[in-house]
Amino acid sequence: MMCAIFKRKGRQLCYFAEEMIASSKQPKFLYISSIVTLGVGLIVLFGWFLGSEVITQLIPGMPSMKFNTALCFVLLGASSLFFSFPKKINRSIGGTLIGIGLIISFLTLFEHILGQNLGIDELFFPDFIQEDDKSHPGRMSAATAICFILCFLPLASMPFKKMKKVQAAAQITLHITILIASVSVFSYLLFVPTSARLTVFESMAIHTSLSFLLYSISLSFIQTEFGFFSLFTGKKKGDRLARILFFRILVLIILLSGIQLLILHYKFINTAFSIALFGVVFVWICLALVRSMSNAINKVDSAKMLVEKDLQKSKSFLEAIAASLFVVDLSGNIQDQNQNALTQFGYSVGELEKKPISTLIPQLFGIDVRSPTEAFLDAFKTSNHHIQSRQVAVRKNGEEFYASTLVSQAMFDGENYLIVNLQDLTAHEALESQLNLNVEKLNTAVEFFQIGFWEYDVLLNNLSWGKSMYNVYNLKMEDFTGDFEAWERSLHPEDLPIANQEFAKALSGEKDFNTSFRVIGSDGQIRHIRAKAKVFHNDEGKPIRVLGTNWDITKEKEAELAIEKSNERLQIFIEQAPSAIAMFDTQMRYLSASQRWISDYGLEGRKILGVSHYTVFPEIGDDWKEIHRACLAGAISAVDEAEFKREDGSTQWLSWDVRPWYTLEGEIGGIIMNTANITAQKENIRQRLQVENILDKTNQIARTGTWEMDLIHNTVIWSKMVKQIHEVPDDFIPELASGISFYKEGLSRDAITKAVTKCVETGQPFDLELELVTAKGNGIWVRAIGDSDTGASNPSKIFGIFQDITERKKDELALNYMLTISNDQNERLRNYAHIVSHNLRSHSGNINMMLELIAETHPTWTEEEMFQMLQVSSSQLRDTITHLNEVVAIGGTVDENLLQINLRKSIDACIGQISGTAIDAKVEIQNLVDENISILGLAAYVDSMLINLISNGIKYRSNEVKSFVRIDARHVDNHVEITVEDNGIGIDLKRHGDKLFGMYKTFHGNKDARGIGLFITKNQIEAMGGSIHVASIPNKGTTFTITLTYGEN
Amino acid sequence: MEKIDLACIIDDDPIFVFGAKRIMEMAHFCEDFLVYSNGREALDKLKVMIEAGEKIPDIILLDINMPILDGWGFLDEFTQIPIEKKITIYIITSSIDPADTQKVKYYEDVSNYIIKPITAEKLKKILSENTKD
Repeated sequence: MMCAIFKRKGRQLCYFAEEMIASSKQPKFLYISSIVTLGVGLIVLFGWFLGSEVITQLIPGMPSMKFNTALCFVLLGASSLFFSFPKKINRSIGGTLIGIGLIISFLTLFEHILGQNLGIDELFFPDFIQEDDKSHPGRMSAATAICFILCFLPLASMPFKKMKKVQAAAQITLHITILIASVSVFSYLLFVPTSARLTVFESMAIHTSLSFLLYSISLSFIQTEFGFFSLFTGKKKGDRLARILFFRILVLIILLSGIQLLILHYKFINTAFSIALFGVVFVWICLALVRSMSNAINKVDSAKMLVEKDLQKSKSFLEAIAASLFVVDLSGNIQDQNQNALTQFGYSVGELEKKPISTLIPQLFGIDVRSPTEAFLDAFKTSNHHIQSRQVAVRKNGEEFYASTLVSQAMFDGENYLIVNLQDLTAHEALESQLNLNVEKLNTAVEFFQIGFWEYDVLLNNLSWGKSMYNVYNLKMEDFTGDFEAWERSLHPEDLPIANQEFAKALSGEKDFNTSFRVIGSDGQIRHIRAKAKVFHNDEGKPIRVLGTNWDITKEKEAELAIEKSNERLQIFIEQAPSAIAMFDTQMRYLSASQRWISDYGLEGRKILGVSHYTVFPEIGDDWKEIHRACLAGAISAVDEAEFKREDGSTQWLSWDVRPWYTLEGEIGGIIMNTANITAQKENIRQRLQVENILDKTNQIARTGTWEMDLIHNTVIWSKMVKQIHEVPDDFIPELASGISFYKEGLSRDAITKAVTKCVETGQPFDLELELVTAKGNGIWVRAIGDSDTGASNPSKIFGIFQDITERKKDELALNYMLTISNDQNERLRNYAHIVSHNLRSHSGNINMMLELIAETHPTWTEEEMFQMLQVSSSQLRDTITHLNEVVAIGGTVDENLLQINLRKSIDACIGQISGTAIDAKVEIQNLVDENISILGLAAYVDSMLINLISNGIKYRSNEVKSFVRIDARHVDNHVEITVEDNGIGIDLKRHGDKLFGMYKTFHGNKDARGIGLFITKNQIEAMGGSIHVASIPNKGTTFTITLTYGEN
Repeated sequence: MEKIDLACIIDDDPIFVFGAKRIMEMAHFCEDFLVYSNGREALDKLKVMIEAGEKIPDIILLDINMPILDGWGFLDEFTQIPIEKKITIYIITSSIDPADTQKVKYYEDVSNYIIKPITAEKLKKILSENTKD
């Protein structure tokens, strides 16, 4: 328990001392100690002035602090004071003081060594008498002198702090001083009489020793790194323990020594035994102390071991790091590094110690900067206490490589350090460049192929689009809200339901998302998009994420549609083509055939699509097959006409064009055959030639030629006949002007010129009969017929027929002449007749009128026979004139006045007129004429004819039979045969036949017979272009047959 | 039977004129006569009468074949004269020339075409036609 208390007290003391020491600062400490020293010295000096034993000796009888000693203390104190305020003046003063002190000390020492008195001892004051006379009065003890020297020297060396050896030496001297001083102190403590001490210690006063002790201790603290004063200042466990131990031992020693002395004094125990006892006790206690010490140390040690282990572990972890780690101080020098750093940079252990990090990483702190700059350190604050950068690192052999550095800050032991983590990027670099390359490739591909990437977080319903997606959809980034609905909005409304369906199916895992749809961009344009995506599921199989691509297939889609359309169009076109076209594939199978093809080759109703051409037409010869083969290889075969014998034996003439067709890729897809059946044309040509031939011959006979005038080239062509007519040689080349000059000057030439001009200008055809003078001078008549090719204005060609009509013309002229004459004559005759008849009629009419008047006025004269005869003559005269008129009136044929007359109606009208007579005569008149028969004739003549014939029929009836007059008609070809039949008395034709139709020939006693009825009738009928015949049997009946022209309905 | 007020005969044959007049008197055809021997004379005289406002004939019997101005010529000119009164014109002629018979159809003013000789019957017929109007 005592030990425990001891220990505690000791510890407390130690802690106190520690604190004191720890809180001391160099200059302060020195300052205090120097003041104390100075104070002591001054006091003693003062004491010597006063001659006080107390002050100088402190304990009476003890050696006093000599005057020189005090003086030296003053010097010591003063100089160290001056030194504690580092200024040059102070230093020089301090130095001087030191110098003085040293001189004194050395002199004293010399005195001691040389044993001579240099007279400095009692320079100022005489010394007191001491017990012991061995010492020299007033002289410092040798120990004191040595101590002073040993104190002054370190003080003097203070300016030379930097030199470690000096410092070490100074510390050693101070320690020696402490030793000497402590011995002295101890001896005082243990009441060792002065005489028992070593001579060197003889006159060292107690306060001298104490002062020395104090001073040297305090001075020692200044440089605690040397000597063992670190013991008192060290914070390490060892130091602490040492301190504890030291104090404990100190106390122990003092106690034991005290006890020992006591024992010795009181002679309890034998001296030797007491020493032995002392020793053993000392050893035992020491052992205990050491034991506790060692325990503590062991604890520390094991803790240390643990720490070390941890450290080792950390170190091995550290070493395991693939990176290089550097600990760099704020000057930029490497304090530590891991093994990897050494191997990576190729250095061996210890080579990097204190080397600047910029040797390895030149630009870590900046270009040409060896230590971290303010800016660099500031960066720590802003960048979360890490600075990452890419650096070029240099190995020991000068090889450069890329590295990634991470610099962080660490504080240790009050110092800021930088931890540099370096990673070789070479491999990384390679990967990165590879990555960059790949990314570049990808980006290029994306850009080029317009591929957009998108990502959809299912849970958050967040749709994020890569930049390229906006291009694909042609939307603006600002317009996209980033949710699923936004995507839906951009779709074409028609395609949205299907797209959604597909997406839902993909999410449920039913099938992959691979679809296409239309989108409407911000410009309103429609694009076709292909979409593919992959769905990622979590552990439970729920979809959590979708990664997808969209790309623009508008062009492809449009191309597809266009192709489809164009193919459709092609099919339709072929089917509808007006010519016979068929399309085949490379195996000669029908792909498409036009309607015309089908009809031309008689394939109606047959299925030919997909069937080989050779199957449809087995009779195709090898020559055709050869053509097909050649065309399938790329040749083109086009022939104007060729014969083709069909299976049924008929011959067809064809013209064709066979050529290959090419697919989109440029390959031959098959052939297209375009044929035309020219059999009909061939036949036409043949017929035309035939016709031409006939025409030629005909023209020859008819002396008709053809001519042609090309208005564009201004050429005239005459056929051989035309030239013959003109009586020009065969090689004569005609021209318009020369051609016209042939025509007879005057009417003919004028007429032809006018006609040709008109035809050339307006295309009007002409047909003229003109006089011409041949090359040989013969006057001929020609008929020139002309027409234009267009029939309208500005024809390019006029052509026509040229005929020699001379003979005909002559005849015509003669005929005309004759006609003219006869017409004139007829005219004259008619005029004559009219005039004559008119005047005759007037006069006979007058006679009649007068006679009537006379009869009225003088009724009695009518009884006169002569008057009666006069009347009869007058009326006969009138009748004759009337007849004459009638006959004359008939004149020539009157074709132009012939009208269509319905026969039945006319007959009925006539019957009506003479019905009275017929009834009186009891004659039945039968009209059997069909109502549809009409005749061409003059109404007056027809009526007259019918009345005449019917009246005759009535007149010459037989009283013995039931009389009838039957009229019938028959339509034969272009004529009507009218029969008027009666069953009367008939006519003896043998006797009277030729007189029947004569004028004024009667052969009946019938008083009604005028004699000219049939004459007039015949003339009238012939005037209408008809004829009359009679058939009769006496006492049986008569049949008159009248033939007239049928009248078209 | 009513009579026609004033009749006009335009004919160059005096015998016919005499006979016609006689017949008309006996038939009580009309009150008074005007006689002209050719178209020209008739036209001139009638024009004067019309312009003077004198009484003009109700009926004209016109011959065709006359010297100086024949019946057609007269008709051509006479029909141009604007006359308020309706004058009935008969062509009385011996001509049976179809040309004449055709031509008469082009003259609407001509009521009828009568062929000589004229009888009392015919005159009565004319009268009855005109007085009924």
